[in-house]
Amino acid sequence: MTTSSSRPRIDPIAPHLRWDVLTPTDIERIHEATLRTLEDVGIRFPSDTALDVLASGGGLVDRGTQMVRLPRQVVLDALAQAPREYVLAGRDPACDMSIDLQHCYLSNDGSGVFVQDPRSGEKRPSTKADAAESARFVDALPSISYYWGPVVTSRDMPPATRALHDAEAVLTSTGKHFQTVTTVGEKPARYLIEMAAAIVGGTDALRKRPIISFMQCAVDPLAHDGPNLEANIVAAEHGLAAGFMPMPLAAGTGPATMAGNLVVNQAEALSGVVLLQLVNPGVPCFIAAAPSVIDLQTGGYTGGSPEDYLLAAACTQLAHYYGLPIAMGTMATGAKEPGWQAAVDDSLSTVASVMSWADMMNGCGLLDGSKILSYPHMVMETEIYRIVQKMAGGIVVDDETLALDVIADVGPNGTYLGEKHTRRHMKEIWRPQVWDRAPYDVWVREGRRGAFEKAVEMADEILATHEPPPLPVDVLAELRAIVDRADLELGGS
Amino acid sequence: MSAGIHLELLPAAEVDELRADVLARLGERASATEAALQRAPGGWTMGGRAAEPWPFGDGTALVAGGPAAAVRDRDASAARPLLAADATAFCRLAGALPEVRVVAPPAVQPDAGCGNEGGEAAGSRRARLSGLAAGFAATGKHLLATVADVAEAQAAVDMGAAVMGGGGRLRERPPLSVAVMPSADGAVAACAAAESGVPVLVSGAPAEASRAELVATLAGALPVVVAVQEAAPGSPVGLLLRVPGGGSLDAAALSLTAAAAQVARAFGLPLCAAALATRASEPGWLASAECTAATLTAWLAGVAGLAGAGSLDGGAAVSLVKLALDAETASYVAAGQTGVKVDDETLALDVIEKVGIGGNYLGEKHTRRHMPDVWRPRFFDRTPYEQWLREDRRESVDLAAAFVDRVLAQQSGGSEQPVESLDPAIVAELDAIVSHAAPPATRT
Repeated sequence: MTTSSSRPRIDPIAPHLRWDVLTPTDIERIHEATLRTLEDVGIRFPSDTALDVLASGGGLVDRGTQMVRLPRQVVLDALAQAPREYVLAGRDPACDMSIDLQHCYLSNDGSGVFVQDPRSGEKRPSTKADAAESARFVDALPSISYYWGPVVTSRDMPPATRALHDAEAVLTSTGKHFQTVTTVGEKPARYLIEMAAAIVGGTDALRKRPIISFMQCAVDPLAHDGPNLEANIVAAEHGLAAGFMPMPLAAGTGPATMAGNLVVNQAEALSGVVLLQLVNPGVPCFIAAAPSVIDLQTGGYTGGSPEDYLLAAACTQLAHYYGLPIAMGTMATGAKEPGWQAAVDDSLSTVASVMSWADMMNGCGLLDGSKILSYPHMVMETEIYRIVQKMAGGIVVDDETLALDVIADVGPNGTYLGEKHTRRHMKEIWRPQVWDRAPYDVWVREGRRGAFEKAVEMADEILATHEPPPLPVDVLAELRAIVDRADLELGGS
Repeated sequence: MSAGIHLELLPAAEVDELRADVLARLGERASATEAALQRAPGGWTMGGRAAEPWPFGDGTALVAGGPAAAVRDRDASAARPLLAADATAFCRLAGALPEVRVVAPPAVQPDAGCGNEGGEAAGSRRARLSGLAAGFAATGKHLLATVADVAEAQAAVDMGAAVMGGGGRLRERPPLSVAVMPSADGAVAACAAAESGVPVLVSGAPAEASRAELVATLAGALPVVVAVQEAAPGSPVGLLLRVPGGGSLDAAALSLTAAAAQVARAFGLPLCAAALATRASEPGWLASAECTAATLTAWLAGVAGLAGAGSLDGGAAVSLVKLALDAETASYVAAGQTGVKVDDETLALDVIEKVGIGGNYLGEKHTRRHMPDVWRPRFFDRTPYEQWLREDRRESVDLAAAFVDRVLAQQSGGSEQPVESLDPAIVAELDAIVSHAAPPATRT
């Protein structure tokens, strides 16, 4: 398997159907409540650089508490400057993504720390080799449009520069866009940008073909993390897209009611947009979200619940109300194996994200609440994505699809199999990759191979054969040298 | 449709066009059909032998089972014939699951030890009526009986009258509905049921998931609706859509379900969809992926009844574990359909201000007030990974199987109030009705 295949390199969803979980009145109320929270309660920005930017941009800064209250007009002005559309480029131009509020792009899930053996079910700590292998795997699957993360981190590398080792592994192993979620702090961010610039031919070229973007987690409720802020500030300075992902857990780090949870989520995400627009007006940015509910039995993250998918759809509606793209936590089941629970979580979560038109969806491949990488699970999740893709397309009704002339030609009791119209449209019929449709006796005769067994085979095939687009040797050497320098400077070695 | 989140797959103009195509296919019968549809109620109150009446057609009701003749035991390599004890267990479990509103009892096969093996077809009248008798004894919920002809319909009606204490009580609060095929026999059976006050669902099985087949299926079912309205004007009648071609519950099949619900609504008829009859042979990932998509589609499309819960092998077999899991999925989806309530109480601005930055909402009165609103799973594993390993890697199917064992071990099940057991005299009367309508085959 190589990248020379005639298949598209990425296969985003252009949904036709849309479901709205909030009414226009609901949206206005949440919008007003968010502005009130930003103005009256404020957000903590534990970074002097961020506080300087916000103070000069009209924020009411308390240096002692690092809290910033954002007047309504400051927020609205910043939102007005954020672009509605932009391109997130791939190292391979065939993997460019048009972020335009009209398409849904799936990524892998990220920040896992274990890899599961599909045959024994045993897990082991992830390594830099796993980060590279996961990127090569994602590169092979058209349903996954970009690489988010890393899927699993390089736990065999020093913590101070682990994100840069992750990046080296990823950038050399996939031609798809790379959105980092582990690069924190000003210096690591600058090193990562240097690496990306080395690939595309400099920082100016990187602005034109941004093959990387940044996402950082917020600290719920109503706060950011200092190194995360500083990394995104560096990204914005270089014209690279960035966003912040709040993850308020209803009844824990957010109100127990979904509307209140949305207010906290929006306040955190919009405060990040304000910061980025003040750093570099007009810079591409996005809202991110992975809202959930506390598990009332364990106090932990649920990794899937009805509230999750309602909140996901609501967050997407709110982001699009502002004309902002959104990266939405999608799939990421809490199940430990790709069985019944995983399929329920993944199906409903994907439907919610796609039917509300989430621009970026993070993502597939991890089990146990985003901790354990399973390649067969990733394949099975792309099958769910493909089903939802077909459903979201709705039913096209026009002269060609109504096919009245063909119906008249075939007449009663005829067959459509030999018709040109059938041949024209056969390719549109959804075909499974791992879905079992064999007659029962065949299924028994063939050893009862289900979706998982087929996914294991498909994963093995990809890992054995797929070759990502290569980087020139001198670029590989340059990336290595940059990471070596970072190790020396940041204490990584 | 009830309040909640809904999704219209087809534009209104296309629904109108489909409706017109169906009527055009009926030719001269179109105007009589439209007149009959005017008389048919869009929904009705559904009762049970012991269940509180509830409005059918307002929201999506989960329907357990169907006329399956086999059962899949957990870990068994193949399905086996379904016996009376299996039907009882299935219906008891269905009765115990709060998500299940209607129970379609499976078809009881002859017991190998009873001396009548080999003489009855798997889908025989006796098999279905025996299942119905088991259903009446095992649960107080509303039953859905599949009947092939007027004799079978009459037997089902008689059984309903027996458990309710007479034909008057049956008409007042029918504890069962009947499903009929769109045929002459089906029409006569439907009329017999309707004249006794028993609601009717007219089945349709599209050969494939296409527009033409949808039109043909609806056009095939409507003459039975007309017959019912002529026999018993204003009587409850709806449609029951089976999986196209008996195939996979893929995107095309689900789209057809959603489209059918819209067109049925345009005709003023509630639609049940047997969309949980997955072709999978075990309650694993494939069955889950298919049935989750089917459940969500049914809820979003405003389908009145989602049938086939607990079914495997395309509806040929039932599985108790699958039934429990289907109910969990329905609960999950239904919880999401309530939408997001936005008002002063739910926006909680005062609480957000009080908790402030970096605080915790766990101890707040507001949280305690709304904690009961949070959905809680029965069969979803959320334990830490190490604990999960210690506890033998229990998956959803394991948790569901344990639940099934607990329910069946109890005299009464789960959240359902103990079902008042049937008077032995009534049980004997049901047996007599079955034997009269369908005498047992004798050894050859």
